[in-house]
Amino acid sequence: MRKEDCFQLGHISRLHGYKGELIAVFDTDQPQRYQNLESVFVDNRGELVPFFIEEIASNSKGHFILKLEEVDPEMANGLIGAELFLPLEFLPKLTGKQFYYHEVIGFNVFDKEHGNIGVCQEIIDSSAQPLFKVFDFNLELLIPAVDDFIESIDREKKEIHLHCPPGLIDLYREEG
Amino acid sequence: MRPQTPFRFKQFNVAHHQCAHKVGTDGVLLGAWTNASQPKQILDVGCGSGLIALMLAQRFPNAKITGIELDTPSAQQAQDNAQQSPFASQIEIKQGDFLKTAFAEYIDLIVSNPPFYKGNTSSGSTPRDRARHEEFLPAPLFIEKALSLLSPQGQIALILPTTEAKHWIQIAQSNGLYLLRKTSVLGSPSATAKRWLLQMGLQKQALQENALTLRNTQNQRSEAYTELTKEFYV
Repeated sequence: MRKEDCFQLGHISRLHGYKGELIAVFDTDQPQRYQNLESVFVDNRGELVPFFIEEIASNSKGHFILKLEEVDPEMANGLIGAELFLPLEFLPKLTGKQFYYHEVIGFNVFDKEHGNIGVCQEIIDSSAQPLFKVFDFNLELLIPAVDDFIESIDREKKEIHLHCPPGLIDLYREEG
Repeated sequence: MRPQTPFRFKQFNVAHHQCAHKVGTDGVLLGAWTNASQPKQILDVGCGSGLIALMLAQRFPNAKITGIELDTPSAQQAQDNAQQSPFASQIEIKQGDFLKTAFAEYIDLIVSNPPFYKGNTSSGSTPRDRARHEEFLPAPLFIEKALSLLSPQGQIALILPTTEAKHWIQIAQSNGLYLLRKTSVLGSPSATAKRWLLQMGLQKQALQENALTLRNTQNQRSEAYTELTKEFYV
């Protein structure tokens, strides 16, 4: 199983107590989906290592307390910051305007006024709001990936339909 | 500083979805470990999101794989996963109860990572755990139904928790199935077996028995595990 075939479920954030238990943070809106998690891949220098989970419980913050099999307190310390992975197939399917960032890479992007404005190259998520990075030949457009701008996502045709505010696309085009 | 996440979820509201299914890496083991000689028809019982069906489609390009799943959202997800894969033409997903579904053709290989109830006390009371498990898919009914579908050379491959495995072997043997392969799965060399991989069939053969350790003593991925799963691009 390669990393490309998996999604990142979350990461180990810190120790819980002194008996080798760990606090894990899962990147999900639906933590209850993973309350019966039985095993997980832990990233060890790029290699996904499978671990059985002996105990899992959620805390009041929606984080999880994990006891991984055969992980003693000393080893637990070395796992802080480690990323957790599961096979991609476990990702719940999203519909409508909801999407996973990796899901829309390569989709054609259309604007209501301008038609096809390019291909979605990546989602940049370093700023306050995520951005579609749309590339069209030599022109790169950054468009906020916000609900108000998204009209629809067509997974069959691999298309993102946007309704950008007037002037946004012209701004990039004039610069280019 | 938090590690950067390559797969992030755009945080809009998502309807609550209680997934009855097992989430973990067991399916990867079963999909990689199961062997068969040129199966034409494969059935994945309780296929969940379709992981095992996809792995088997890759391993057996001439096989037609049917996944059956009771839970409608999971079946839909399996359908989507199959359709978006390079193996779409090989895989068919059905939503329904395995025990009540008719299949047009005899099956050469039935695989299952059956759903079972797991409470917080995993090693606790076996009969109670099993009773709960059997609300989902009782072993005797599963085996009986499987026997009615198998072709003469047909086989069944399962991954089960250790306590369940003994029960299933007993049921299978009392129904005339032979245990052909048995692999105990250990997390590390010093751990106890957490799962058993079982393969059974209608034709008697010598039992192959071994153990698979997932990690070495340094908690790196073991060579055996890497070797078993290296080919998968699912």
